Amino acid sequence: MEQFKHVKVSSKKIDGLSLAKGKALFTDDFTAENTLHLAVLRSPHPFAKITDLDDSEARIMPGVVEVFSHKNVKPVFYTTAGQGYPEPSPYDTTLFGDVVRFVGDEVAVAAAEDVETARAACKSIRVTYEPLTPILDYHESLKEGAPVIHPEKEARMMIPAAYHPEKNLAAEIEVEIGNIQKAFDSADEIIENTFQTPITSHCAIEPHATFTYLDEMERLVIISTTQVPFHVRRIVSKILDIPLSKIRVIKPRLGGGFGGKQEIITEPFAALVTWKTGRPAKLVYSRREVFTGTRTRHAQTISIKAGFTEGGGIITGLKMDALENTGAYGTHALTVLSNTAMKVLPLFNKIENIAFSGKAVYSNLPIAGAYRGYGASQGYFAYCQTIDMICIKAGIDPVDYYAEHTIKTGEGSPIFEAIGEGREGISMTLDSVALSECLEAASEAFRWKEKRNLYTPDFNKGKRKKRGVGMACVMQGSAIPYIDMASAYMKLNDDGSCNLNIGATDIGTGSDTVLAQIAAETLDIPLEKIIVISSDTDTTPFDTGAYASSTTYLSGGAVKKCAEKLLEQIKTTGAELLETDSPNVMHSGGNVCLKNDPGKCVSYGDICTYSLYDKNQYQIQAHASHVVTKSPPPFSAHFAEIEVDTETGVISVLKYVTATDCGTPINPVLAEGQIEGALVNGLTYALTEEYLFSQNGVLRNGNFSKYKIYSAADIPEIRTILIGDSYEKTGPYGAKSIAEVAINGPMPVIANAFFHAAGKRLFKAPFTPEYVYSVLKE
Amino acid sequence: MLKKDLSWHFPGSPEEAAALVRGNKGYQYHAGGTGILRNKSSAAAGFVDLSQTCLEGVHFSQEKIEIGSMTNFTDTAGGESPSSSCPMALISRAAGTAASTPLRHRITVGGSIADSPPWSDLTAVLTAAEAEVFIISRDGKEQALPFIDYYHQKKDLRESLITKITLPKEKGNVYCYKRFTRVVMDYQLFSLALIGTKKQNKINDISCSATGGKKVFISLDEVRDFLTGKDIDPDMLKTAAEKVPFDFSDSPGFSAEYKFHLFKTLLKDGLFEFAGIGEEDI
Amino acid sequence: MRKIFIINEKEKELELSPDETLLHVLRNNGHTEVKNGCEEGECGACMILLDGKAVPSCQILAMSAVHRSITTISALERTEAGKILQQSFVDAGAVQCGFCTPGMIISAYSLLKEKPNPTEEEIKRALDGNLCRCTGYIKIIEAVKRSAELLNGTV
Repeated sequence: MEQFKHVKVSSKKIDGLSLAKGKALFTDDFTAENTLHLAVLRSPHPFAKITDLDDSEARIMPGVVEVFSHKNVKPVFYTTAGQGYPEPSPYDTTLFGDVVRFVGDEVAVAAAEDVETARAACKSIRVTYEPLTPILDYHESLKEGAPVIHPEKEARMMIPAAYHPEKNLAAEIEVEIGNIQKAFDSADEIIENTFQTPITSHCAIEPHATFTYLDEMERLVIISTTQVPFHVRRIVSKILDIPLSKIRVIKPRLGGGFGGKQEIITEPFAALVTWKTGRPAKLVYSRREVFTGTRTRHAQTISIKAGFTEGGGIITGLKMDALENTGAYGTHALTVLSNTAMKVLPLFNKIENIAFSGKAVYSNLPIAGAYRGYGASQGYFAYCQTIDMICIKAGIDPVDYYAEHTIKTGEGSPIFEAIGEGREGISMTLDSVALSECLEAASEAFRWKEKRNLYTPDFNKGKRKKRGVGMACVMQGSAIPYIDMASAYMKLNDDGSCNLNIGATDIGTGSDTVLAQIAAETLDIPLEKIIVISSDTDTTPFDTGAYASSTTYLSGGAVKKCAEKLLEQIKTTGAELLETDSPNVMHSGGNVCLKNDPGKCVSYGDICTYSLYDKNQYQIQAHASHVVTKSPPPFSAHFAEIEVDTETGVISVLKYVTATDCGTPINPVLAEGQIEGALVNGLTYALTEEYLFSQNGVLRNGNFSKYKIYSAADIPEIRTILIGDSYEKTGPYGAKSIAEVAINGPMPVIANAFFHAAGKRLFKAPFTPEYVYSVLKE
Repeated sequence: MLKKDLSWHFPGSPEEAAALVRGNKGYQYHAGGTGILRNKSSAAAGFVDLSQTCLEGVHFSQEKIEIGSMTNFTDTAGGESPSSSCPMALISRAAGTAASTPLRHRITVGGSIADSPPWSDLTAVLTAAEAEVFIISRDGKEQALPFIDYYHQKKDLRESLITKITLPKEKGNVYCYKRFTRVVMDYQLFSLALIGTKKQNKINDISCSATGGKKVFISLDEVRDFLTGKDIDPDMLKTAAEKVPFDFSDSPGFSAEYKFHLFKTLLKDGLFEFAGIGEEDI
Repeated sequence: MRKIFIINEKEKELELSPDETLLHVLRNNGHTEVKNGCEEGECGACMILLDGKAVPSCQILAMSAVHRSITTISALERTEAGKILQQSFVDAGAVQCGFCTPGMIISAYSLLKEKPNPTEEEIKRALDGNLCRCTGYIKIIEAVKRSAELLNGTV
């Protein structure tokens, strides 16, 4: 095993102290004189035509400078999805339009000297709506005679993929491997169940915001809470017809994204105001606007039918049917649906007959988009409970079942090839699977066998508060092979420090630090000597952005390549200084030394000084790009102990243990932080979070007082284990990614623990006290 | 939306404060301000801030506990108290679990009584403990009302200034306070306050009050009547918990039916705790 | 209108409107270290110390804070407890996106002033008004524990 000096080290985040001191700047902290403040007028109807819009009163209001709506902004069809071009999401959105498709849909934007005036201006705009019959339950969207939400002829997919808006079908996937019907016909046992997951919000503590201005060269600068600065540049250029070369997008410090900021939402409005007025502009969403006017998780209804053997519970055929709600617009509809299958089904790769039938449908509800887990979280709720049910039927400990039947190192799955992300899938065998180690470590730390044998029906008999334990294994992926690209640029400075310019987007994950650690490892210099600039479309090379668990694996790969190229130059010039040839030198601790006389060294600083000023001058600098050919999954084993109060239906999670294989954890403490954050989000995804609507499609709980997530006072006892000796050879220093996987565990694990405690299944999330109580009473 | 041309006043005494509100249409009292920010009423023409009127403090006399209306919840919950005082323990529990730790530094007893905001409602506790509310009323004179009477007349007493509340120092020898929330920092769905006297396995008297129903609060008189003078017995307590004439309505995430069931369960748990019976003893 | 506030031990005359919250007045007058996450007193990103006690500034009308002592995260690095908390948060990995961090540290500081030796339960309760979506709170709790140990010299 490699010995590392700068990776697999819990270095302090390079921006940590500036954040702890409150010095680091987030988008809303940027100010300029003369800034115009924006407010958005939103639709009160779930589905309506705008027959008249009168902004005359707004326009003459003192302090109001501009009002934009479909009356003065040309419709350009695009997708708000922050994905690579051509995006695998339908171009079904225009900045403004004369049809509104959910309560909260943007109708107009007012720009004024202060926010209150802008809001008052919006209030004064008189809009005449002709309400249309809405679809407020996505199970109705495909029914015969359902209203068509996107009849526009311009709405289209940019890639060849099934898209039938006339049926409200935003995406469709049909895959069959083997012969599923035959498998069911000949199976000893059949099990079939349907599961439902809710619409939820990312709840990043920083609301969406954009600040725009024209610099002294009259170029448009967009500072925004974005996970995807390069996609923002391209898409804003397209929507507003501004040359791309005139746009600069910068992501400053960002207060959490989790997928919710992988969209182009606030940027076009602010950019439009600045471009038209020449003045700086700022748009900051209120918390309620974040709930209704940004993005949500895709709610899904998933049915799984599985045929398995009587002895051993071996699955001979498994069919998953998924109905996905994409809301009023189709951003991420196809790709989330793809991941529901692609990141879930391969886990048990020996099932010979598999089928997936998925449909993403429009509805007149807030727009669903990317959210940590990205379809896999929904899929695992159905999948891991199904596995649990099969284990119980077959009398097998699920830990043993996962250990035996899940995918192993060197193996692949026909699903990888069958389903891609809008394009064809790729065949892939996995080079690192340490799931058995995860199972062993977690089950031992959790005392699984002991607790499983303790909380029997006899133990719980007659007790009001029943206890149970449950487990599941989950995986995700690392980046999107052949589609996403990352690049890096580095140069050496006279004191031996380096600049590292990366497009990669640190949204709080610590990627600036992690990527700098990778560079530090390659060059063998301390982390403090790496100066990171990231996510600025003018000064950093391209990166698709922070999504698909890409940054460590993909962007890290680019950084490693770049640092290696830089090192070559350093060694060449170092050799020159040492009056020898390159093959005769090695590098160590920021010096280049003679291989056969390690005491003879020259520092990187001296090398650079020489190369800048002395002879054969050149700037030691390098760049590299990286595209991956595989998406090696991180694996995670989750165990939970719960107590359910059978008289109230309240579930308390007492203890939660995870063990995760992410290959080499470049920064173990930050990696643990990703697991813990995702997991606690997963706990409330399972127990408390869901959008609740009135009969008219109005969100009833769009703020933190009604929509509850955990504070520190709510968390159970949590233990996080990182498997130390997994190594992914295709990843930088053996690393895979880790950002999403842990959020997939809690929902099925708590449901499995509930079954152990109470003998009943939870088919619907969240497991609110009322729902749990109703299940107990059945 | 609050008016942009609000006026602010910082009187040095309660009498001055009351006179300002009496004498100026649209003037409202400002205590901690959390209730005002929740409502953001555009009717307010001015705020009369009470921070300089010396209305904070918890005092004990021979028979009474006196809590100044500007005492915040942190101080109400955390102050020194005679250990045997059930009313004090009850109000400490209610104040100490309301809202969140930082908000409790702002929420005042007077503000909570005047507004009954959802995250800091003391109504059940003050009803059960038979508190008295002292106000400077319309005629400028100090007046004491039983809390229940103040509550029912609240609308007419909007201009009056609450100066303090008093609770009997000694009342009962057992108490119980319960509230239901989804997570720790949450508006409670219900709160329940029980206080009474238990002697040799008999309930001599009991006062029960709760919030969370359609009517904002209720004295559970039927429960009280049923249990007074009875020997403690688990089945009897279970029966008592069913005597709830509560009327509930749907709220996001909770149906009226489930709320009714949940409330009765909470009441039963409260009665068992009150009676000193653990679940294992059933 | 203009009023005098005492912010981080300095008197400052700030421009404000009588209906504005302290959060807005602070941010509009250069104190961007106080963050806006929800404006309903739930997330704690706007936490400041008012006369030494942690309070969400979005729930304070600015006029009621005139002449009162207001402390933001910026002043904490000049105190021993504040400096230790800030460094402990970084060391423990308790800072991810950092948006909740100033508010979180203010609440922790307020706790340690009152309870220099808090139990884990007391730490969790003291932070019940601060939301974080990034960390899952584990390392935040560790950072506060560690800070208490360092301050008490019990390391």
